[in-house]
Amino acid sequence: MTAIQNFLQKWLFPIAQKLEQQRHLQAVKNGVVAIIPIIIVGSFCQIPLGLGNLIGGGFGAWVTEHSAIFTFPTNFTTNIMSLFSAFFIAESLAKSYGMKATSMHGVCAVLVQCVLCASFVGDVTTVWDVASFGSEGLFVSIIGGLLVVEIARLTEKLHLTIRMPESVPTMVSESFASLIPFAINIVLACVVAGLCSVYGQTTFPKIIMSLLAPAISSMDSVWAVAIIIFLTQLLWVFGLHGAAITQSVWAAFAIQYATENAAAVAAGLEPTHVFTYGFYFGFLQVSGSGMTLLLVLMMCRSKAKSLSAVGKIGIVPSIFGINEPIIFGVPMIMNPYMLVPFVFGPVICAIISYQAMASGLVSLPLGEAPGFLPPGFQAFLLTMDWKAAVLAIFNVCLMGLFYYPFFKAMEADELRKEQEIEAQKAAELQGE
Amino acid sequence: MKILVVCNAGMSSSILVKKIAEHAKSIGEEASVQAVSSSSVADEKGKWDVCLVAPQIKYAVADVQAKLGIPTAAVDMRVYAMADGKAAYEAAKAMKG
Repeated sequence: MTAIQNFLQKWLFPIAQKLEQQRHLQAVKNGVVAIIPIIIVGSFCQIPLGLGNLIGGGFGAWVTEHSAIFTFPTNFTTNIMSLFSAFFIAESLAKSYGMKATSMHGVCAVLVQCVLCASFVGDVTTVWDVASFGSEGLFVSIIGGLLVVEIARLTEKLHLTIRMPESVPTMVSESFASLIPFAINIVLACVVAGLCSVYGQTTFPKIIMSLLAPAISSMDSVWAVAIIIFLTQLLWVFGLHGAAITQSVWAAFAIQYATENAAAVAAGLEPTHVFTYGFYFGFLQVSGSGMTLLLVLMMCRSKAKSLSAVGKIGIVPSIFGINEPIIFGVPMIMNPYMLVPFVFGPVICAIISYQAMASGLVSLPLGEAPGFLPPGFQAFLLTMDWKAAVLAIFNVCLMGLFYYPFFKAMEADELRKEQEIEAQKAAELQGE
Repeated sequence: MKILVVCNAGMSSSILVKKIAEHAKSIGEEASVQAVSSSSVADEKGKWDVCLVAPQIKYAVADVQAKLGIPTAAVDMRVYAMADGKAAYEAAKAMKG
């Protein structure tokens, strides 16, 4: 046990720290997480389609016939989401460098994104390539968003900025200061897009997607999900926010899958991906990391005072997906009793949930859905399938079963400790 | 006293924030307390006296301190779990000095 602990502390902890502090990864994570509300709004437009499939009959046929009206807002949310992610990624990176006028960098990234997605073939009216503003453009927006800020920093370092006299208002001088980096960024983007069009007869997003194809297709697999959830839980055992740290790597992929699903549904096709943001939080983190809801109930009813006190504080936040009081109160951290169910239980749930969806037993995500809801709600809104809600609640129950024997052992230990303290107090009183 | 509490999404820390504010009020002291996510810390510069960081992101303490330039420390695990407003408030006061 101590050998494993030492090994993990020596290797895992520094890796986690580096990952979480690497500003480019953080900018990408913050940037793609920031657009989730926009994708959720876009996904709400799929709800009528989901209901139509659920109810079927005349209503189903009517919904299918009018699907273009229902999914109209999708065109301005999910389908152009890389413009928003470009903004947020650049803004977030600029902020982390402590740069001024961070939203200017965001706007520059949006412009660059438009140019990078454009095709130079044909006349001016065909320049816009709206199709690649959606999921196809996400990875382009990551590259563009980060480079825009780095190039702006480079121009600052080389003093390639227009300086105004002190008396000029800050607003004005800042907008002039950003002129040169702005121009350089756009010219560079035009060169890249132009080269892709002229020499490759293709567009920049298409090149990026084909380069990343192996990575993109391998992330949406049961093993990738199992490894991610295992690492998440393991990081929590060391007291670190597992989901926040692992997201630095997988958030962009999950969002890409969600938007691909949403675009497919809006086009009247079947969604194809399992691993979306909502899948992770709505099925594998129900009531918080480690899906501790039933454990919290056991704690509330426990005779051990320390456990019941934590349970009572943690129960309401747990229902809404927040279980930090439980993780730090039990505590889950470095707890030999809880290590096995807390780390391996969610991995088993992940494998079951993934297979249930991949096999078609439970419907695939239609896009994204709001989180921090009671168990089952996010899963249902995500898929418009009641079986998904059942699966989410099943996971919570299964985790309860995993926790039960370990909880009993821990409780017995706690009770013995509490009795010892009581006995000591009683002895002291008698001594007086 | 103005206390900023930082956690990953500003969700779990909001539980503690409520308890700190309640405690300060109960002993008749003026305190403004707010929870924010770690990604928006940079916007908070110059607005606060001390900053408490949730234990699950304790690795961010140095980063947060550099961004805010005020006394910054991680909240004790047990205090965070029990949303112990009194202990957190006293820790914040001690940090301010």
